[in-house]
Amino acid sequence: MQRFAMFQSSVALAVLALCGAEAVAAPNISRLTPPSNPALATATTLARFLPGQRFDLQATVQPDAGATITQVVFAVDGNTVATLSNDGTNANQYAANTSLVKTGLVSGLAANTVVASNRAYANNNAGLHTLTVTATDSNGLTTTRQGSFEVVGITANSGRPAKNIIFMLGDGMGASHRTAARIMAKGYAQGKAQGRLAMDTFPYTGLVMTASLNSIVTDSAPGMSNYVNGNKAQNNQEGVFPDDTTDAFDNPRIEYLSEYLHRLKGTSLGIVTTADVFDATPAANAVHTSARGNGTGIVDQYLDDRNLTGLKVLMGGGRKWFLPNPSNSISPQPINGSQRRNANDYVLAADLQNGWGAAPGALDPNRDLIADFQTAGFTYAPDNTTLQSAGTPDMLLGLFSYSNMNVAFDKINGRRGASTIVNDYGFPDQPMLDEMTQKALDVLNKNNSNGFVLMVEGASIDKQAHLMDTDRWVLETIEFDRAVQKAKDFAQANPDTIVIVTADHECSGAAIIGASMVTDSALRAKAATSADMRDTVVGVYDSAKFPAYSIAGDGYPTTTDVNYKMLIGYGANADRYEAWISNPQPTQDSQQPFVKTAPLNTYPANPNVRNSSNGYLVTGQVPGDQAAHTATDVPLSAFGRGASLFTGVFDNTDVFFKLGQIAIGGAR
Amino acid sequence: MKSLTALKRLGVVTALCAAAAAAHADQPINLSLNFDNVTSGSKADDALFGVGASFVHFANPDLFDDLDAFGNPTGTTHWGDASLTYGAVKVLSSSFAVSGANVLSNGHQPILIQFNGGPVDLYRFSVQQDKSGLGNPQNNGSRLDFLDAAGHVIDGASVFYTQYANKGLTISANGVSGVSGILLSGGVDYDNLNITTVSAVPEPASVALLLGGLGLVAVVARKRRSVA
Repeated sequence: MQRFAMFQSSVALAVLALCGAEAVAAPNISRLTPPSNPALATATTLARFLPGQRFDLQATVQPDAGATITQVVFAVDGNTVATLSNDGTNANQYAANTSLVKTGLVSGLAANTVVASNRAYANNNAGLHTLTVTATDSNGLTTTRQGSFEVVGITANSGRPAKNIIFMLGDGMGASHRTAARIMAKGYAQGKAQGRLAMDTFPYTGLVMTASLNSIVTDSAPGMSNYVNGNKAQNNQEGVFPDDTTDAFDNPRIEYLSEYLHRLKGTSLGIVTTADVFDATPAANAVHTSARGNGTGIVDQYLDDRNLTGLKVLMGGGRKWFLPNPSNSISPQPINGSQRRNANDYVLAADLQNGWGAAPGALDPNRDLIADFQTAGFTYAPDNTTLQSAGTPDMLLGLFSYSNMNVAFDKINGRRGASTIVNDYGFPDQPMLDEMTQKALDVLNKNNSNGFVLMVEGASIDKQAHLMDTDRWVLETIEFDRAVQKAKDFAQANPDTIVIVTADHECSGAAIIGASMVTDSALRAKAATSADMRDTVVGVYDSAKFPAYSIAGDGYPTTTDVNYKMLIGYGANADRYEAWISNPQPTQDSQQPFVKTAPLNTYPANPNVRNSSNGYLVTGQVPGDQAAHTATDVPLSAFGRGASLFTGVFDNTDVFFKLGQIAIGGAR
Repeated sequence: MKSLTALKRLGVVTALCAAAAAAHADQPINLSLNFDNVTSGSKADDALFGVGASFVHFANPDLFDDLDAFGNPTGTTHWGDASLTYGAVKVLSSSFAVSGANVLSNGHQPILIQFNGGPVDLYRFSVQQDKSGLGNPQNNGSRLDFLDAAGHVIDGASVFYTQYANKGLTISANGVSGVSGILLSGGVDYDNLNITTVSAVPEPASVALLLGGLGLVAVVARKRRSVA
């Protein structure tokens, strides 16, 4: 009996083995977008949208070896949204707002993998929804994968809606950056600040968690994008979810606040920055791409898709992307400063055009984008004189430098005749951020029947904090705060306005460690050793006392090199030489097209060579030659309509839904 | 000359009495407005002259704190007229008008229709949102609210609807009692307003005003006779 049982088992195993050898597997849905946890009661739903906010549904489906995918079906709450059937060819398929992409996929996927998309989906019903994708292969096997997303409801008549939204974004501005600016601009005495920054006077303040989709430490692309579309982006990506194609402009999109409110309310959009306008923060208000560095395509989309965003004001640096480049090369660098190239331009497939109403785009390095802006009705200002004399045009483009604008430290010293740095860059007449902000508000408020969204970025708080150039980022913060005052003044005169001041992330782990215990002249006479420059200079606790600066009539310190000056340390620092005194030259900016030629190539290359002759080496905790972003929460202060919603500790994506409520459902 | 002044005073007092009487008389209000009877840019209240100025007015609303006896916020809010802060509700020419050329517009902010004489019993109310197709896209995410004498939303009376893509949608309600105000959601402009009440509900203060006014008329008339 036992022998018979053993025989039976052997036969069964043999049959199983035979079956195993011939078994075929069902398709594998390896990515489902929007990303979500399983629809469990205890799960945190990752993807959230406002009612009617548009986003793309996408699935990557990998067949078993030798099979092909014949059909992909998207369903929401059990109702079919789209059925995509494979025509059996190797060519990508496009029909209306759907696509089956078979080529141009990332490596590592199975043969015959397809990326199926249903573009510009929207759901008007508040609540949790189930997204189901069912894939069928050529063997007749099917696979289903389920995810979830939430539509966050808007409560009507909760107060008057905000007509205007002003988003003041101090890039990299943590609590320390704000405090340092207050100490320098307002002073302290007997333990009390002798004045308040404009952002300090906002009545409500909260703390924001800034993580991106794939890291606790975000870069500026998700840092801004998360605020203005309510969903987590992956680092280096803006306005999109990650995907499995190599095209940087075809990722699944999420509608921005600017696009959403333009569609629902007819709002206008203004973008003002001290950075190159292609940079992550400005672009993450209007442009959808998985590669934040694709400058040509990014600036083209500003203009090409202005009918989606309502763009009326664009100001900052970045002329290098707007000037024609017949050579399609930057080696050698064209003498007009252009860096337009096919390699970072965009062309959109039909499903994106049809679904979103987006422009098709073109590979056109020789495009004269400034001329195209002017043809579209934009007044162009290449410098501050032109900007101020432009009056109040209907639409405004201001490009004040080739790439990132000079920082406040160098602009104000240029205006004072104390420095020629702005001349070295070739742009001696650049506006300050508060001047740009005021002009933007004037333009946007002209014929402003439907309201506007304005994003103003103090970009080089971050850029100079990366470089650990203390004097420069503190002045950047002061400049940014002067712009905040302009926004507050506007909101006081136009009470249906919400102003929020925050950062996309903290940068450098900046900390106010104390103050110098010696005079400026004594500091400059110190030996370049840690024994002399650290142990006899850095005053902590009582020794720090209250550093005192004098503020000139232009609103900036007469000098940052005062006796007993404030000292800053960095918790996320790379190696640097620290001399504690201001650097007469800024550190090289690799974004500048002529950085490799004189005089810009004479500037210090990075912080680990800067001050090597007059400073002491501070060994850093992070690799590379720049300080890094940190995951520290950042403050957010609010003023005006709905400001009371911004208290407590909340996620950066929460800000989007608060703004949606304030702008549509209303708030006190 | 003195008699002329007295006559003017009499006229003013009589008008006050008449307005109060019209608003508080136990008779139905029947008001229809298409906003085409005034020029673009006019105050919305101008559209009421001759047809309903004594019954209602258009207010630019805001939420205010309810206050306790000591003037401290109670944590609840009420809607009230904030036209002094935000300006008057307007009639504007619009390509999105449902009929004629004009719409009732508050720059896509909410509009408050207030009954001059206090709460009324509403028989029927209807209004059309404009044909812009703009507004809140949430299904049944917009609300027509009715307010009580204190400016609070009357529970159970609100009408829910979807603004976005519903061009020219008619929003209506029947049979709401004790209504002192009607709150139109922001997001769109409006056209073709109709209000029908069963009766007005006189308030003691209004009755006192009416009686006081009639008393003043009597005094002025007596003085006038004595001067003559």
